[in-house]
Amino acid sequence: MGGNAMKTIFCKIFFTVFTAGLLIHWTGTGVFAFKDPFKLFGRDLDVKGSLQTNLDVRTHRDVRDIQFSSWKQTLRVEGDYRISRTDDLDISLYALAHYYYDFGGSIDDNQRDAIRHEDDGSHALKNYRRSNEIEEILKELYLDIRGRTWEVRIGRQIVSWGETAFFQVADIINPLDLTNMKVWPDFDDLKVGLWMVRLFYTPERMWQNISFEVLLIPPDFQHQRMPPAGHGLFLGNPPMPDNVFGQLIHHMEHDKPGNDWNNFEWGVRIRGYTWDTDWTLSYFRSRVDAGLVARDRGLNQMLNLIFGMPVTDRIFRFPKYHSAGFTFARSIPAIKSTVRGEMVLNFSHYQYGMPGTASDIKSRKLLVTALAVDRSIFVPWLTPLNRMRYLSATITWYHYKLIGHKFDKNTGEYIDWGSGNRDSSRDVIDLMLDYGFYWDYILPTFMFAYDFNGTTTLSYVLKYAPGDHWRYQVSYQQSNEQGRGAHMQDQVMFSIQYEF
Amino acid sequence: MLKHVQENKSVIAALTVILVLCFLFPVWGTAKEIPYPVICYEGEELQKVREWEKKWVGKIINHTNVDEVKEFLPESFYMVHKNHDEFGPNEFTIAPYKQLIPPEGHSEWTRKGAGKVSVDKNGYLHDFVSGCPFPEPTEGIHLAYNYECRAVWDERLQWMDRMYLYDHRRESTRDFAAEIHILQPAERTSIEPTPELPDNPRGIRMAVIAKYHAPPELKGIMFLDNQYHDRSKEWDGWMWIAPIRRIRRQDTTQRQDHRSGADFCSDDQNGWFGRVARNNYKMLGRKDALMGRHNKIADATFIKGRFLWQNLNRERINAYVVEAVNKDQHYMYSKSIFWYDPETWCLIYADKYDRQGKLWKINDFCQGEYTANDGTYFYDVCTQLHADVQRKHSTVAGGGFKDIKGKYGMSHYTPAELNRIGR
Repeated sequence: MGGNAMKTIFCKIFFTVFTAGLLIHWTGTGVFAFKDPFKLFGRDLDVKGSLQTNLDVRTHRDVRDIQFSSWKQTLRVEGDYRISRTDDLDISLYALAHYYYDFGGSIDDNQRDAIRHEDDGSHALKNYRRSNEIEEILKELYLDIRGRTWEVRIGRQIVSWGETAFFQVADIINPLDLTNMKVWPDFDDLKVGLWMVRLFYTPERMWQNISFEVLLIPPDFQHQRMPPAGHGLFLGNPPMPDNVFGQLIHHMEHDKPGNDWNNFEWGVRIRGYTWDTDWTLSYFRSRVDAGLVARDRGLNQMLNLIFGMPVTDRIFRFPKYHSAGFTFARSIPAIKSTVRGEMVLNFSHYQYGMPGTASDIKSRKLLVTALAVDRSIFVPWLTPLNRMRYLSATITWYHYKLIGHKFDKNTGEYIDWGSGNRDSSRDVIDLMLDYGFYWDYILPTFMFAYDFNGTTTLSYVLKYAPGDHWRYQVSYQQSNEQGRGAHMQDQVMFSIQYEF
Repeated sequence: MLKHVQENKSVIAALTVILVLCFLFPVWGTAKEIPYPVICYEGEELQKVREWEKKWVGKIINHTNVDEVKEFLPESFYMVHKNHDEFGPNEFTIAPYKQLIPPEGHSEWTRKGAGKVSVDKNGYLHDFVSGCPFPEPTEGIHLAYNYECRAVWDERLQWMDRMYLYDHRRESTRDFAAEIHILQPAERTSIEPTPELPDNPRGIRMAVIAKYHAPPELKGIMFLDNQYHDRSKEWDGWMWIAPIRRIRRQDTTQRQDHRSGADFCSDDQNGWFGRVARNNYKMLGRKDALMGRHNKIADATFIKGRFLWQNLNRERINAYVVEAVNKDQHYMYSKSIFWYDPETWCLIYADKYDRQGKLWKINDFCQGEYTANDGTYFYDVCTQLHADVQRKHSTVAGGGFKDIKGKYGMSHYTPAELNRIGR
């Protein structure tokens, strides 16, 4: 690294430390005592947030010879402003904002050069470095009007449906933001907010405690966000020349549906409690968030792109589909566990496949089921020694079944799950263990996902939480891909976070 | 014929006597008369206490003079005060005994139901409607149920804005804050309708929503617990996990897990927060003891270097002492000793022993007086202490109560509501 680069890095480190120091000072003087709300124009403003620095270091280098994937400084702020509060009506304004600056390209020239060459030059580097789009910065902003049994939220929102976390089953409302390229990213960073109207109705004395939720999402289609080409984690391997991969990602943005009333999305969910079991029934009418390449039309255009010929039509399609789901959760005392399950049927013009794969967009039915068991486990010797701290364990089994699909040996037609498998079904098991030592000052977590048809991913996390605010974490992510550059996705991640 | 008439006259006379007796002594279906509310001391006993108080009221007790009142303290509480090198210079003030009278509704329902309530061989309560089930307790389990059914305000908000996890060795604290909404749909005594809200088909006797405001990473997290009038039914619990915006159903049979670094688990809240029938109880008797009463959270102070809440008053009362042993032979405590206030039935002190029989934790709960919106007084715990005496680590909590009568209905205490109000 040259002298100017060193100076830049020094300035940036100073900026980070200075900001952290200010926060510590404010906290010491009580100005940032966020246990109690602030007063703003005479009304309560409840604020919470965090400042985080995160350094990701690769353990194996690919052909690009990248060592540092990312050195990201992130500020997250969440505010709840209570405009009016009476016995019958509460009105508040809620916002969740998120801004980051990534110095990864500053400390690793190879990372910077790869993004420049494989993606759209300086423009791509700028997108990698910091939040640019309003959707990246303002995750949520909505007006919340709440009566005794009803509620309306109008604005940009993130919705979580379903019971499971690692894979999306019923939780398909918001598109994903995969720019972080972590196997298990922070949830706050995972989704793109959508403008919507969300209605809740919880009638008094309702049979089976039934309540209702409706989502109305006007046309403002948001696609799944991908990391820049040249980054090399999970996608874009091996590197493609002449920034082809970068252009593909940009075509995904370009080809997304227009904002007309044909693209209105909506959903409804009914929740109830029967025979000691929580259940929901849901329906969501939407489009696929990640673009799919259609064999006949899209593939030809993609080939044109690769060979430097004019692209005259869309490469990607975002087909519409229906999604009907059922979830349940129940405590089972006999096994001292809680069991949670989801079942979702996606049907009509839906095609499952990884973005960019050459798959026909045909009407298919995809049935996804997931079953999770949560249990607090007594570990002999350790639990009694550690003040009766139990080990928290969750194991989840996901099963995907494409109904009516068959691998055609003659034509070679198949649907690519993205893992190389061509069967009509796919199974994944994931396991999460977490524990705490010394009054939860030291928090180890282990996460493991085994795809019977593809990759295995592991993550070991060790967090140190000495007080109310500072959090120090080191984690290791390992992805045992087969035949796609083993261990090229592995990285060690260091994080320091100040919560306020 | 005369004989027939004479026989009939005898029958008629017998029936008349029975009818008169029925009117004069309506025994069937009526509770026996019992004096309630209970009073700790009266008559000669009260005089003795007043005599003792002449010397001790107003005195601050610490390690220099705690030996003089040792007979009125649980052994563990005396030990913490005496060993100031280990636990810091803790102290408290002796106040005069003053009767705590539960709200009239509680007394009324107690008198109505006296003598009708029973406990079966499994430890489950039967024929209980409302009030205090056993105003004249004769067994340990009676006291456990009296505590569970103690006189509380039926719709209340408890704010706990002073909660600290205190590491005595490192003299460091972590702050917590929470607000708790509590509704009693059944076994109500203080707010009409009593004894039960209409349309309570699930038979919930108490519903609780607790929402954390601090520390930052717990902010927004909420817990919902439902307890049932049918004592054989397991409780239900849910958690709103703010970071992932989801509700998680909790397994409420696994209540021994100590989480978030606190010195208590689900079972330890308020001394014992679980189904009564999970323990076997043995009444150990009554003992004069100095216990926390008539305190205000505003007066209580927490000072680093001292293991307990400071600046609290303790009054001499004639407490009930009960030994509780969990029916699970692998339970974390080999036994617990509970002390109950005979006027409020509140669990005011507890000693908990580990599997090796060594003292592990002490709990101390001081009561305060609150006023409902209609001016009625009610009593509840204003300071809590959960202290691990082996590891010198304690969790202290304090706050107040507010009457929220009519503010929230049953639908507020449901998982759907957690989903609605959660962020």
